[in-house]
Amino acid sequence: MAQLRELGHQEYPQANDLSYPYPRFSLAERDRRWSAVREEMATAGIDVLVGSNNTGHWDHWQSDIRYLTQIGGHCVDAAVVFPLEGEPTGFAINDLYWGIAAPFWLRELRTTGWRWGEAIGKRLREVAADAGRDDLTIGITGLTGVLRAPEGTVPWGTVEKIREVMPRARIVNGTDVCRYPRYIKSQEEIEFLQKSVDIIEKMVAAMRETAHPGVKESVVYANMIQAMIADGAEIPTMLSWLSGPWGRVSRRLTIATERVMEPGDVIMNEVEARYAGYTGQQDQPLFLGSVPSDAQEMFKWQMDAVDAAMEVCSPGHTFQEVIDAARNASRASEKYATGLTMHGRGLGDDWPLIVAGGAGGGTGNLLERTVEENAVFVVKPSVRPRNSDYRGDGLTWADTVQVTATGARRMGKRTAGLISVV
Amino acid sequence: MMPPSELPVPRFSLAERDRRWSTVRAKMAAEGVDALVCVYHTGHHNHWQGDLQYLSQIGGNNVDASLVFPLDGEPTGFPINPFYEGPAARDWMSDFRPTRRAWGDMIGERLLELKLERGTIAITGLRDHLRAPEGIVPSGTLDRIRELLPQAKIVNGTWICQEARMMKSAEEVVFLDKSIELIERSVDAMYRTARPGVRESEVYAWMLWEQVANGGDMPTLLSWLSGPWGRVSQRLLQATTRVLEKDDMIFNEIESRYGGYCAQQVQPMCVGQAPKDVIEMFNWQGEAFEAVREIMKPGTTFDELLEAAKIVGKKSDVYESSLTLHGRGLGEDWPLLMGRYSPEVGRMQLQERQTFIMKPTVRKKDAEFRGEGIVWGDTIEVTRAGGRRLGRRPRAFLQLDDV
Repeated sequence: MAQLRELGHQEYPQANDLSYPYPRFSLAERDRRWSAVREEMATAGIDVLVGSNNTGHWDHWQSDIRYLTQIGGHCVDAAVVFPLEGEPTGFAINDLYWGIAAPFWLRELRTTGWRWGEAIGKRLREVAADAGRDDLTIGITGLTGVLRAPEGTVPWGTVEKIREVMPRARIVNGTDVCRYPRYIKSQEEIEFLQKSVDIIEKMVAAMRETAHPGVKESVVYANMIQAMIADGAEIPTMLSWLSGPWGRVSRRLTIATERVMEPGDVIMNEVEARYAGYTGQQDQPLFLGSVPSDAQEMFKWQMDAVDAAMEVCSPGHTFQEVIDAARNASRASEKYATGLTMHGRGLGDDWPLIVAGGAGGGTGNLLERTVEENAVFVVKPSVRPRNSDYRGDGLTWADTVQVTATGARRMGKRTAGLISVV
Repeated sequence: MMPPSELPVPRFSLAERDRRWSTVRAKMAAEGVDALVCVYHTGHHNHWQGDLQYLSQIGGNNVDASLVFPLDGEPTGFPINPFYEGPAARDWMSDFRPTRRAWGDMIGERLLELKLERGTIAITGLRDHLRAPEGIVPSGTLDRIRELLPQAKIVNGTWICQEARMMKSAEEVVFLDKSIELIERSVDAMYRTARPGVRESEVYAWMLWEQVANGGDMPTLLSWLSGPWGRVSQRLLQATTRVLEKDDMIFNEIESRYGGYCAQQVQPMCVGQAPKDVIEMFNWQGEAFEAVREIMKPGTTFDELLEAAKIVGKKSDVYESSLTLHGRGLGEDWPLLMGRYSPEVGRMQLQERQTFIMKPTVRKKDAEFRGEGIVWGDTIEVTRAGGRRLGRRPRAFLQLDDV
């Protein structure tokens, strides 16, 4: 193993005194994470955890690597070799890419020149040499069972290379190793998520200020992104978009078009902002004009579902209880049905994913854990006419919530409601 | 629901579809491939789903999708949910099947439907992908396809679309021209907003505002180095909230995506007046740029381009120059020339309608860091008369007189 770095050392000495205001976590937070993950590894009999690059799905699919190294942001490909004992190693394509935060945590950073499996394999052989055996159990995070990617996210060629270099190793799925440590947030993580939610509310304010008849939707969208980036959040970030005349809303898009808005239009969305990778979410419908009466009625049912879900989103309750609460909120309505979408928020696709009132791809057993203190979710029951299964016919208002000892706490500060721009 | 035809998004014609499909199918036939499979991977600024977007128009801002493209018969697109394929794809195709993220299952079922149990299935991105030589296909998806078609022959299909994608059609060049227009709006925004006392993130945000407001897609590459000359930061992929100071440098690579198509420019700026040696280097860089541009015509080899770019080192005792050049289009268009490359690539000849970002660097002969070099770059179309700059702005090192 090469000589270890001094913590905080940057590759570019000329750059050191610029003190870039790049958000980063403390060493105490690093140690907390590393020890929690190592406990999981020990329980699972894993000698070394490996994560390899996949910046897909708004960088969410590289979140375990970022959780352990702080490498990442705006499609920075990265990898990690994280042994049960000894020095973890972070990887980037070259020394321009591991960023400013990672050197404050890692004393071992290496370049791959895009050959991830080779570089990871080389480090694994060193770990094996240190352990005095090459039949290590290697957990690869993202091999299968990733949230929203149940077939996994790790490139086949990289896995093959690791197998080739470590032929006597036992390769197992390591996706679950970071899953539960990440499920419960530390105070530092909650502060980052709060910053994300604060930025989201600036984005919503930007939408409210600029969405008017005659304005291109792309201009509104651009204003929201501008507000987010200017305040220190990063891209790519998810900001989904459905729009058009109420009752004839477009399909869900992940970016607005240049369509010019008209009176009577509605914008429905999912608004996220990434702050050092940490992502809250809010959903905030906006009407150009007064809110139609049926939308008002739907919103009333939807808020009943939000309240009911929040009521049971507290320590000790099961996720099934939250699902039932959201669904049952509209039992008395003949016209409208409510249902729960809810998922963890944090570095990406945090556990669990509940869609259409059930476990979403990669979630596994929804009853394996209960709702626990300091878990953070976006809770977003939707409401739609009972005779429709089209998302654009429905309505969703949502916020990110932190589970506290006494119940769910909304992280947003805005008043819940539909926005009407008259 | 509002029909997708009402949404004003960039769209290619049916003639363009037919041109692409027939070119790719000819290549498939020549290689003995029965079906080409593109597997979801929105990584690396969505570049790694370029083949899929090329054949289907499915894509945009992290839209995960897959595609089965048979030699004969209807292609099938696989979005995660109904209607998630984007508005333009339905202009070209009608068979869309939601996967609910069980990609391998759905791809495998479609291949079985095509009776390709014993067929030759090429998977694009299996290996040898640009900037991803180990490939980009998720291991579990490949395993599932193999499970469902154990007797099929699975081969690497990375090269099948790349060759077709290297040669741009007139419609593709129009999209790249539009991308350049958005990039130049970004440059204008940088010039308008970068002032002492302004946060770098604000400048960056306004640059992206111009793109998104005017029909550009996300995510897009906009890299960033900044700080006082001689102490410029490491390369970041996004500006921080650092506050700009008088005479700071901003170096960048600016891309924009229009209908997925990415051109690139590199436009240095000084938030004040650039030092004399910077301007001297910039002038040398112009000489290297022109030396390469002039010979970017059919028949010139990549080796000849690289050699032409070394002109500064031959004429100056202090400075040297070298070329970075790579294809621009839907993402990682072939080839990528920087550092190592194979001799075969060096001997290859340019062809008309190829488009590249061409960005020679000039640095002192004893320089160690990227931030010590000066780069200016534009996207170039290969024509018989030499390289045509897609950019319209005059070549200049941007400076401010009023700070």
